[in-house]
Amino acid sequence: MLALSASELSGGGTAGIELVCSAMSHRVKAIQLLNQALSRPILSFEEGNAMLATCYNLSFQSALLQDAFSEYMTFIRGIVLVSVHLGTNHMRFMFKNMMEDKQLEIMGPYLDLQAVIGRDVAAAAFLSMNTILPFCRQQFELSFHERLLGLVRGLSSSAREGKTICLLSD
Amino acid sequence: MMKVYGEFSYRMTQEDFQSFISTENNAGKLLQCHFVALQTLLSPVTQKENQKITPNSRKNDHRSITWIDSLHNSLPPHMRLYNEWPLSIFEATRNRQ
Repeated sequence: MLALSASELSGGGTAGIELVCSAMSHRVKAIQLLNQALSRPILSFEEGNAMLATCYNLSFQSALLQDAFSEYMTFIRGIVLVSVHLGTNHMRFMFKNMMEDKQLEIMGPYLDLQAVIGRDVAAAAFLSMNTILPFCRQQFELSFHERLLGLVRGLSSSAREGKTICLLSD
Repeated sequence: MMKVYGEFSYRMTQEDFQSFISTENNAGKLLQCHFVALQTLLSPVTQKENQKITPNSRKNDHRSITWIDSLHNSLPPHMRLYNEWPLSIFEATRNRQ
């Protein structure tokens, strides 16, 4: 939480180097402790949910750091792995809405917006996706490409039909 | 978007994921850039801003878009032309802030 707070505050433009250093220092410490915790069995739901919260905080902080996308994805994987572990060991979740479809319901107000993505943008995205396809040679790359293409097709439909389309479930 | 997240969150094996985020995997970088660009376009904040630019929009709201800039600069020069569309989204988003 200290790491996330420091990074959030350092985005204001007037923060000193001390705040940035503090953010990274807390981040490094949090990651070290999380790795230690992951290397041993989770013995209580408090510990498991604390690890979940740590993964969330670190993923949010990654979104505030320029060179941290791979870390962002890594912490998202951590959230899933810890959640599965808690679930298989019948430990209670404190983050109740995380694994349910209710999150779409919660996001509803944000989705009640007419799609404002223009046809040009959708077409450019589609073209770009097709251009990079030949570089995707491994199965996991092809699968990821297919998922992204599904999103782009949704953008194209949305722009063409002028309808609000729920793309979060894609 | 949930299916995209599912792809790298639990469908990829650990070995595949490490390969996907490897600094030597240019295909992975291109895919990641396109993903970030699409996520930015689809975020509720972006959509609200497109409808009405508010002077008080927080600068933190789109800091994740800088991932594209970082990934783009790590691509070999001959590969960067394939990343032009995500880069255009990054520049458009940055100019709006």
